[in-house]
Amino acid sequence: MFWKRISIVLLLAMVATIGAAGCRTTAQGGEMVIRYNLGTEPQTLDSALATGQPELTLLNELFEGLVRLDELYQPQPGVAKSWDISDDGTVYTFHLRKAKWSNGDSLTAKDFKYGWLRAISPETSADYAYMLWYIKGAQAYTEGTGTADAVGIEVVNNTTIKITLDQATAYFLSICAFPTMLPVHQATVEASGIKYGSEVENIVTNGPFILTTWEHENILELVPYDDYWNRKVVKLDKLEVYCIEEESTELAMFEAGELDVLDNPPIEEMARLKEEGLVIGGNLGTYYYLYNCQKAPFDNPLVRKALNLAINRQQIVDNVSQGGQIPALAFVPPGIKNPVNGQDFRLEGGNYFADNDIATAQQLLAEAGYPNGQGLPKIEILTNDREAHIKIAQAIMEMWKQGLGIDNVTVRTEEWGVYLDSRDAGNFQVARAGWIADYIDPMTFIDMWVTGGGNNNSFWGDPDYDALVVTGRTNTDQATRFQAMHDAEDIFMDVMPIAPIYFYTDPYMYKPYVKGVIKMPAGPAIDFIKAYIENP
Amino acid sequence: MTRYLIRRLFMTIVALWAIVTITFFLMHAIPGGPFSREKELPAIVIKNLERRYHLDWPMWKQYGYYLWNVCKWDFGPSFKYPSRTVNEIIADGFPVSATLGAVAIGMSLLIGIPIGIVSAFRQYKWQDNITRFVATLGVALPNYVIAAGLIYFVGVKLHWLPVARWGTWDRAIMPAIALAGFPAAFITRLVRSSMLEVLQQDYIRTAKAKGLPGETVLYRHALRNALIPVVTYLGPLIAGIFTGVFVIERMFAIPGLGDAFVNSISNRDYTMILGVTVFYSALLLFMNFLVDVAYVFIDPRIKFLEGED
Amino acid sequence: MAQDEELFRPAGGDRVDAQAIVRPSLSYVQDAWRRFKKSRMAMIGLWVIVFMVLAAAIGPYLCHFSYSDQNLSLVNRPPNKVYWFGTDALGRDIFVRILYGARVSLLIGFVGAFINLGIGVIYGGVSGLLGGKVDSVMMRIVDILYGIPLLLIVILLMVVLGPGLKSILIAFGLNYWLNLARIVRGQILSLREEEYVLAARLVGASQLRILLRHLIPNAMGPIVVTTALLIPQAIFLEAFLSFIGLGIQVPMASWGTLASDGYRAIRSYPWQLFSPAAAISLTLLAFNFLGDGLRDALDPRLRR
Repeated sequence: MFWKRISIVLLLAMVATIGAAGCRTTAQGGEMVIRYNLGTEPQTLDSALATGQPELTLLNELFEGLVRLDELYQPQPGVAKSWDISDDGTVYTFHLRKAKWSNGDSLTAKDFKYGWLRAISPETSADYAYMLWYIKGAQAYTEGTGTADAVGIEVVNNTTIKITLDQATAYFLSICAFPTMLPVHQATVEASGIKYGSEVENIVTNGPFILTTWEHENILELVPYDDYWNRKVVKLDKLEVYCIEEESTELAMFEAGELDVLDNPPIEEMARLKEEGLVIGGNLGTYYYLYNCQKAPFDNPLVRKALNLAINRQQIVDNVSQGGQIPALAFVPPGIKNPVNGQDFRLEGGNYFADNDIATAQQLLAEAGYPNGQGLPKIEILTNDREAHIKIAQAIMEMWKQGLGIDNVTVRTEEWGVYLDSRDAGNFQVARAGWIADYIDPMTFIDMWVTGGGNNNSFWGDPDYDALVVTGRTNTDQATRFQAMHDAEDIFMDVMPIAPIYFYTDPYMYKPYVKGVIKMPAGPAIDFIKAYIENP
Repeated sequence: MTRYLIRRLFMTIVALWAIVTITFFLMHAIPGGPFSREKELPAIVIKNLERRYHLDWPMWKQYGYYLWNVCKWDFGPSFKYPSRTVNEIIADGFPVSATLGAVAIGMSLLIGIPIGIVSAFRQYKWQDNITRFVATLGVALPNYVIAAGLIYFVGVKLHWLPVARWGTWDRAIMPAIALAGFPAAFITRLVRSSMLEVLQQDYIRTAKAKGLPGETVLYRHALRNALIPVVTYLGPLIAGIFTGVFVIERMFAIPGLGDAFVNSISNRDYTMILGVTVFYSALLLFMNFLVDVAYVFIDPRIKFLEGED
Repeated sequence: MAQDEELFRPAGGDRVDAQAIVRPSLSYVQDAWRRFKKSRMAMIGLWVIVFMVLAAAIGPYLCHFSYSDQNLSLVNRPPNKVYWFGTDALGRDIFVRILYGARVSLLIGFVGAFINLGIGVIYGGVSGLLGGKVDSVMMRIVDILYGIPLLLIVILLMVVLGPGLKSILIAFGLNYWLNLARIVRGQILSLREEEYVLAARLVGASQLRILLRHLIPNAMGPIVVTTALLIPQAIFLEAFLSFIGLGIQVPMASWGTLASDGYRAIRSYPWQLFSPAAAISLTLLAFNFLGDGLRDALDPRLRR
């Protein structure tokens, strides 16, 4: 009797407590729905302020700019159905199609100009304002030394817009796909003020999907936009986007049938997943180690080269990161075509050294004055605190010890923000880094290393290199440009201010009934515009 | 009694002020500002951002400005999510965490207390031994280990419950169990030893000698006194759930405040860190205050003890 | 009526006998130890802990591999004859890493607990002994600090100081001394009215001597129990901090870092989680039983 009473009370109370947690059902029934994990809560859907790759993915679904990127990451007509480029390459004229915003208003050239000026205005303080500095007068406007009127954007009429660049830029069309160049609905911005882009009611979109629900940190729901000019290619009824951060949880949900796409497989499960159908996709980026070329002994190129050659990249790729990455024996990754001859830039450029070349490494180190690693000061590898990086750092630490006899290497782990600051301030000897392409052209990798450049964290510089970068950026002849970029990489890899480790890949997996998803090697990386579900 | 409560209230406010101050200065001492990015920002953009968030003011001015806003209960905009204010983010995340926490607390009390009582009554018999063993296990495993086990066995293998996220009542079960494991086990042991102690008291013996049935003895005499330590434990219990929530929310992809807080530290989202710290502290302090008030009613001795002070 | 004197002889035994002490005189410690030994679980706990400490101290020296030896061609292997607990993602031997982790975790546990013990005892002792205004103020401070969610401060502090063994110890030292201080003070307050304290004072002993020689040893009971239970809390805290990324630095290993590395691989390589989790549980169980046994043994009211 005593027992019974207590257990009944227990049961009732438990049910009551749990029931109080609220009830909500998600309807499925007959709709074509894909459930995808973004990996994080989107920071904002304000196209001027968004900076991360997850935001890019969403913006690409909800908005459309002058051009839209296809699966080869090439710009295809978007809102602009055609364009003309002047002979000297500095004036671009875009002819827009008739399009509408999701609230019914017409989309005109004025919306583009408004969006662009807003992105580069000093009040907005957009991170990616500099992407638009190719436009004449743009940089001056952002820095406060010029006016908005002096910026080279001209609205010729409702469907024509003309952009004047400072100098010819071969890859400008790719830049037009950047979120900073999306059109923006002025009335919504003015009505929402600071809250623009943070809630469903504070955004008006023009892309293949519209946003119907946004529960922060939890879920976003997208449905097709019926007045999208290319509505017929959109087959989904709904796209559910989750914000799960923990990779192992995402995998658990995928395996339990609660997710349809696996985009961030945890490194620990790679081996098993590869046997279950994990796809290794392309990703235009390089993972590398930075040397601080101002600090001895890293100011000696022989030391840097020795350390590079002693790394066994194949082992790291096979056993540590296990993501099917490609050992990097140069800086610019494969996947960029030279338009002159159709060749891949990397294949043309070749490899600059051999992987795991211990013999040469030891020789170089001895030449540098540190035979068998003796006499070298303590070396510290700086990394941020993600598992994968820490593991790789430890592996490399061992490799330097085994191969070169350097046994006082340590690893310093810092939290992301602190790590970035240390790196920018030069407060490191060797630091882990990665770079993903902003657009498909070798320049996005090459122009990092100009002397004193904002992203040049190796503190290395070379005037010959800088001159070649200028040629690559501004010369309109593709053959000349590409040759200049190859030459630049030659100089760069001869002195190796960095140690390339591997070229990124993009491992992912779909459920067998998911079809038509577009994967891109950079930028938004994934696009569901043509995705659909094949009935099992 | 009111003097006692007023004094407690005063100390709560002082504690809150101390927290705000310590957190403020600690946070600005952390290297790594909120505007560090992988791709370096041009100096002009950084300057504009700093201007917008008043980071270019002298420290004492920032502090004063912040204190004033706290009094107005305005925590400012988030650094990481510029279109949302900290108040909004807290308002979104807190009900979720609170629900999860409440379920977990409810579970631990509803499991711990009855089992502890049973265990005390059947001291050294098999019910007691099993309970003590399981309870001890409960305090021996870190909660993320329990959570990982649950996700794998119950979620992926057996498909009994959805693995993650939030919204329907069945999603609350596994995270609540993972959270409640430790407190439930602790409460079980606590109630057991407290009940044992109470049962040895003279007045219990008297009640039994008078011929009262076992249940009346339990409910009218023993229970109230045995549960006093549980009330004392409520404070640390809530604090413990509160920290466990960081881990559990992340593992089960629950959009609560705990996860937001851990992320805000990585992001150096100053305003968010300060806001959540003040909010949580205020909450905890308030809870402790409530516990104090409850204590006054439950344990009559406290009135006299404090009177001596 | 004449009584037969024979009938009224005393029952037996001298008056002197009545004063004889029936059971042997036991000192406090001896009595406690006797009672402690009676509890089987507590003894088991004690032996487990002793074993762990020994394993942690000398174990790593007896192993083939060091905790940092990598073998990239043997990553993630299940337990076998060479690697008793298998290998981790860099091909390191998990068995030796668990032993090494024992060192770190137990060190954090013991040192952390003793730091708290030291601070708590001194603070509480001084407060209780001096009494009056000083006591009031000191306890006010404790009350105020009690309300602050120290874990938040701890996390922030660790971010400022950088992760690592030192900051964990500092963080832990700040977190748990409050309770101990309160207990010590409570004990001191009740004990200082005892007669032997009065006697000592009359004889002319200084405050310090009274504190050290008389009060603290007699207050030991609850203090020891609380301290013993602080050690598992330290290990738990370390596991928690490791999970959110504030643990000790690589390539050092602690049970917390091993567990948080391992839980992500629970499906592919479950042994990587199982061994540290088992180690943590076993140690925590042992300490809990030890603590229970100590509590039963040291509480003079339960003396039988």
